[in-house]
Amino acid sequence: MGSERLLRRAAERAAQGEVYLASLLLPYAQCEGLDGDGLATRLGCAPSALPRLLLCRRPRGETARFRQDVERIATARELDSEALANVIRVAEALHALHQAQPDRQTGGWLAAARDWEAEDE
Amino acid sequence: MAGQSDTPGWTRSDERELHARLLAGDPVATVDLAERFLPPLVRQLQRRFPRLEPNVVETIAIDSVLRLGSQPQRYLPDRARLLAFLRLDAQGDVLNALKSEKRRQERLTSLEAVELRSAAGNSFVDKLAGPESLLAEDGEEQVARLCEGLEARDREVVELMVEGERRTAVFARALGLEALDAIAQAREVKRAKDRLKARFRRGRAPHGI
Repeated sequence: MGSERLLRRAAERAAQGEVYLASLLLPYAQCEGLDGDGLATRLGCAPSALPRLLLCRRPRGETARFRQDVERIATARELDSEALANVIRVAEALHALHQAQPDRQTGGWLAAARDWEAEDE
Repeated sequence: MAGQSDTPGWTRSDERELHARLLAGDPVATVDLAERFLPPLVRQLQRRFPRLEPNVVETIAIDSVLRLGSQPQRYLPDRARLLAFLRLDAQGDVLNALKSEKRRQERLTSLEAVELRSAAGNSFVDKLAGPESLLAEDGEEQVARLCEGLEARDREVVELMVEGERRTAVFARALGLEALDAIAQAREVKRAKDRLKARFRRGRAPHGI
């Protein structure tokens, strides 16, 4: 039980960088108006599986490597690789748009992580 | 000690294999790292720094694990076991957190004394010898006037400041911020205090002052 809470907290913190899937998928969820359950449904996983998914490293950008990484994550987390790839691509596009926004938007990304972590407590 | 693992069931060879996967960019290796090493790291840091708030220890441990996941080349398996590396990496943050909190409390204490004096008149802080002085009629009146028009949570913050409370966690509870991590709590508590100090400076404190 304590380990699950730690992993959720870790997934929240992981949203702050650019390395982990959390940094893509949590802001994506906020943009789409999804809570934790909604994000899990869109990804095709149980809500309890989200922290481990969010702690995966982001798939690398080049096409072949991206596919390989997505397949690896999908296999390990028992997800549909096409659905996962589609969500990640949309999330990446939103992320790129956000980076072109004024600085005042930045807080929203971190707020997304806090909202997700807090909603189930 | 040599060869002994703090993560039950994990040998040095297992650690090297995980590290190799991290270096190779295996996207799920970071999950294995967090699952295996975060709980024992938190336990070790809590044992070593029992006076630190558990929330702060967890945040520091998490950051250490996330750093290694994003920069696995920082770890050299020949020099230390993986958990030992994480613990040493985290300890730097722990010491910085302890120093930073101490400096912040010292600054806030001196600032609060000045702000409360300017907000409430020159006699209030001068008379404030300790919490028991708040029982004096004059002290209570001053606090009550400071709190006019404030919401309940802000009133509680002002009273804590007047009482000389220093602990961030206490202010966080008063503000309903328990769900946030330690760093976010510290930021929001400071924001609330600064907002109240600015309010007093703008002259919304007691009339006649």
